[in-house]
Amino acid sequence: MNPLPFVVAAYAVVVGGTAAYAAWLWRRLAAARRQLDEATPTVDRERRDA
Amino acid sequence: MKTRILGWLALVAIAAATLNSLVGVPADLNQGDAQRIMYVHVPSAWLAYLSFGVTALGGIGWLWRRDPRFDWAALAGAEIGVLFTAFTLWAGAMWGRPVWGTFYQWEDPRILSTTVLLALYAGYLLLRRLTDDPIRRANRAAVVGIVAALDIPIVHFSVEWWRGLHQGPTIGSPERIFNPAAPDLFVRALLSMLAAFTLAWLYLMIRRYQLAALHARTDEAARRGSLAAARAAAEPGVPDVVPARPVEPAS
Repeated sequence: MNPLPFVVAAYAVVVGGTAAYAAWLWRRLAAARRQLDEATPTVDRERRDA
Repeated sequence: MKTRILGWLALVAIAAATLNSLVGVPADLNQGDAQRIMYVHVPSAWLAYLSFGVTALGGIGWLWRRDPRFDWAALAGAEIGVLFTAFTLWAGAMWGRPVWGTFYQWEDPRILSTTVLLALYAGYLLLRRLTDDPIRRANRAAVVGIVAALDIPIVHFSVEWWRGLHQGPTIGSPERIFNPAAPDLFVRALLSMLAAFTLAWLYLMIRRYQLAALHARTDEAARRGSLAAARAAAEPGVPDVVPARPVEPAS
């Protein structure tokens, strides 16, 4: 049995998966920063109005 | 900025170590090219152990100090640990088919206990979604994270305690670490992949921790926002909420 397809599949998932997770984390971090920016002025405004 | 440099460093290290393990190192005499899968399988298993160790220590830290930073570190460890446990099983299956003739064997203690480890920490992540109360969530998660960590020594020593298809530990006694049976070229390739993936793990842990901290701050801001809105609605004019009557001292 030719092991090369299995080698490619293993490396693609492990190395590619690690890179994909890093990219996904980066996007989630950017979204969380935006969400925090949106939430903070709302709190300040409500405090001021109250 | 330092984290970004770490990320780039990890990327370059993984690219170089991967290239070396795929084309720089010769194929094994007995296993052929299938042996190259060990260079991603072993680091994945090591990082799974390390991640769940962080989760267990984070849980202990939370229960002891009640500091949310421990809970964020525990969450980071669990999510990244689940990822690397899945990678371990996948790479093991890819190696097992050409060498053992099977992708997976339920009777093998190492494979089964690793699958249980994956299920335990996937359950940990699901458990965290059951409540929005950060204190209750951290309490429950800490207990599960600590109890689930009992499976780590079972996974590691399963190849010594029970007979199965899986070979003995790759990294076990100090004697085997300092006097490996494999040729130096193979050992260096494995160690470089271990170092590169550990760098990447550190980068991912820091980023996931930062994400958990941001989520906590956003939740806190939203809670304060809701409270401020409720106060603003209750205070002007006739209050919607009848103020509580002062409690009379007991005679």
